[in-house]
Amino acid sequence: MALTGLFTIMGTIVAGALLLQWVAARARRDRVVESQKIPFLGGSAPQTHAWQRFHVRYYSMTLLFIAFEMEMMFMYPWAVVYVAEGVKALAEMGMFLAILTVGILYGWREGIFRWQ
Amino acid sequence: MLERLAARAPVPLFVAMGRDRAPAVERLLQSADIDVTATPRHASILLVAGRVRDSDQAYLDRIHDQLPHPRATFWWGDEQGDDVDEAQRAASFDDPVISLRALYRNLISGAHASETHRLPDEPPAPWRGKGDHGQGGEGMMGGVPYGRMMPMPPTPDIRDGLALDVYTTQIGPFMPYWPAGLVLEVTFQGDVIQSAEVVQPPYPPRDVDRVPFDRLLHETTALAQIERARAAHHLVCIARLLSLVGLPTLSRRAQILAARVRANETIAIAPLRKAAARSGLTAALAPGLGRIDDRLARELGGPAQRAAGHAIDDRSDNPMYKRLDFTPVTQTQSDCRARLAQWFDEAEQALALVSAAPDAMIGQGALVEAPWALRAPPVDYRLTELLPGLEWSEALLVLNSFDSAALCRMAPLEAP
Amino acid sequence: MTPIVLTVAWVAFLLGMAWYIAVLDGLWSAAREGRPPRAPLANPLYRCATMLRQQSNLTEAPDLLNWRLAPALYAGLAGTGVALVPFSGASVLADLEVGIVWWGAVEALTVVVVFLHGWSANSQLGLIGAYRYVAIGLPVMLISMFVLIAAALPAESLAVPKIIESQRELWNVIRQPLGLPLFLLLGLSLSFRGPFNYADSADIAGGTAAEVSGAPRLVWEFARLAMLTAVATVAASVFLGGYLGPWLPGPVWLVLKTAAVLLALVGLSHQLARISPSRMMTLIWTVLLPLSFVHLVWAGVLAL
Repeated sequence: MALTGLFTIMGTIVAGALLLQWVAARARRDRVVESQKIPFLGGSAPQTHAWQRFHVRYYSMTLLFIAFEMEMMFMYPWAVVYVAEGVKALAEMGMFLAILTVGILYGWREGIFRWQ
Repeated sequence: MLERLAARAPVPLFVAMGRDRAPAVERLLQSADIDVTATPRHASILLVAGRVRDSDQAYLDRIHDQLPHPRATFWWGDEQGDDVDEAQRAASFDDPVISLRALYRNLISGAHASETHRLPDEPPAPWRGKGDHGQGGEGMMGGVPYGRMMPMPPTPDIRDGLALDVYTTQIGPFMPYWPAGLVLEVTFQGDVIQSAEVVQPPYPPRDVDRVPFDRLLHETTALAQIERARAAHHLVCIARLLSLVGLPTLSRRAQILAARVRANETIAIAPLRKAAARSGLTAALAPGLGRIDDRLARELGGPAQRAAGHAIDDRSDNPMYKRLDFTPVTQTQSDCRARLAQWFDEAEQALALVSAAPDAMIGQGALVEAPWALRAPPVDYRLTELLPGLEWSEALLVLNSFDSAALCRMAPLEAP
Repeated sequence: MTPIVLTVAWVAFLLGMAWYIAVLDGLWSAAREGRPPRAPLANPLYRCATMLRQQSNLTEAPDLLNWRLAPALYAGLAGTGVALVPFSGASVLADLEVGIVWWGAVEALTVVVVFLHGWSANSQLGLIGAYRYVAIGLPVMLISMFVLIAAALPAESLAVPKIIESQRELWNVIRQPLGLPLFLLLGLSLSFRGPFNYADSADIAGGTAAEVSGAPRLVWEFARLAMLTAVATVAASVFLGGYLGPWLPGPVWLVLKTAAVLLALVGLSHQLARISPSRMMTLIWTVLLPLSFVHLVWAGVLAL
């Protein structure tokens, strides 16, 4: 029920926002000419397309991120049963976090938080 | 209804900074009725402030065409430029804010027709791909799918040696927070600059900043005037760095202070400096960012030299300054932080000198240090060596940590 | 409240808060610059009208579908975030048992949407903004999820209403003091403001929005404000007890608390300088994220 509601909200806003963009574009009939389409580079024109195999300088950080993101999946059910399970749950998640923290330290030493 | 509301908005304005723009331009940009945008796409009026070179005209036309309709051009802040078609030119005695508002209102209501494009309506190159989306063709990328080519073949990266696409483009001369007039051909990998070539040098320092120093050549000039010009120049430099680290409000405060110094008002810089420090301005400039070696610092002279720890200042030998116990302030680190601190220190020192000797006069022809190095020899070092290896936001900070005179001398047109 | 009243309230809340942020922005900058504000209440509306009257721009061979969808999706995500929060004990638009999980999805998809917005224009400045935003947006998301999980521990539930009810005796902001400040960083990051504006900053000429004009830009700017509202609403509920409070009716409390959180967010975005993306990434991973671990352990021990 709640999920239906959320998807309805999402759909309504997206549709409304697209409609607004469309109506406003219809209201102004000036055509976008080719010279207007040149990407902004302070007055200069590019030589090539901007889409490229972009050098993502934090790529090794994203691997560490995935490890944490997976942990998050375990944490959702863990949070619900935490009080019922008591100290055992605390110890388990503490160990998990500790292992991941070692990952951060290792990554830090390897310099993955820099723009490489 | 919509028009009436839109007409009351602050005028969205993109500024093409030209040569020798009057200080009135900075006053105009501080008006609450003006909304200076970072890109022409957000603007309705293109303000051409000061003069532009003939070679800048094509760049200017491109910016003009990038503005969305309705759009107009406004030439201002220069008293000697030529007449330009389609352009609104306000006489120097007009209040530009009023003229701009009127132009904007007419633009919104349709009374002033939106300007048509200046460059030809042609794609940059003929369509050479095959199929609806250019998906056919030869090679991995399917030939040349639209007008422009795909990015250049890979070369090893300057930081980690990874070979990915390089993206080469010219940038400037009307980029925000970019040395006015400078056009560089920059090669990127991702957001890190691999190499940079000077296509057009930046504009030299503005006339307005040199007025008292030029006057000193012919006549006796008030020390207060000289030192006020110095403080104003440095405050404008500081304002640019403040904007770049995401403190636009403090940047405007610095600009307002500069304007007030020029108008002979008494101001204090300490509150601005304190507010900037509390906002983490120093932390925003990484230690060691933009450090230059001793040789370059000496060649550049001026504040950059003193930021490297050399207490060299023409004022030290001047009898009037000697009587005021003048000693040059210096920093040690010679990086962006040091140059920023140097500007703050020198501006504060300049105002202290003004209040210590409000009526002192400097004799005609005396040697007095300008806000930048006025009489330095050519520099054997180029921006082309300074920028490679820097991430884009760092590169802009480094560029803006030099005054325009230093940049001019590091970016001559001829190839090194 | 009936669903219809609730929907109207939700729309009014979203629009009203967006307007409120825009007004605050104007007032705060004017105060900091030491000048009187210019028509502070009406200025946001004037700007909206300007953007609506402008031509929508195109670039050479953009990914038009994604370019127009990105602002719409961004606004949609913000809207669902606000819908998770109850205005009072019985009136919540989306009473989801796993509200926190949905909010986590909103955070993750926001990073995707902002990236798409910068990517689809086929322009170098937009690309720089898009890519470097991801480097900051991802780790900040981890911080916020840790503090939200910490808030879920005493409630034994992932539903926002239950988390609010768990604060009847003591608000989480006192019980888990690190939570709110860390969560505010998420607000700055999700709407890329001030020290976290790596996507649309002036050094890249507006970044992901550098090529956008007209109505698409209006939707984008509104979505940024709506997302900030969503963060503030969630923060007010999870850390400040949401609709709980004496004397006044619940919805009033929620509005007051959200407004207060927004004031703090606007203040932070104007008062702090931005450091380079690589240093921010290091700061998040080596200082802020470990802080959120400490926070989680603290909350865990307290909840037992």
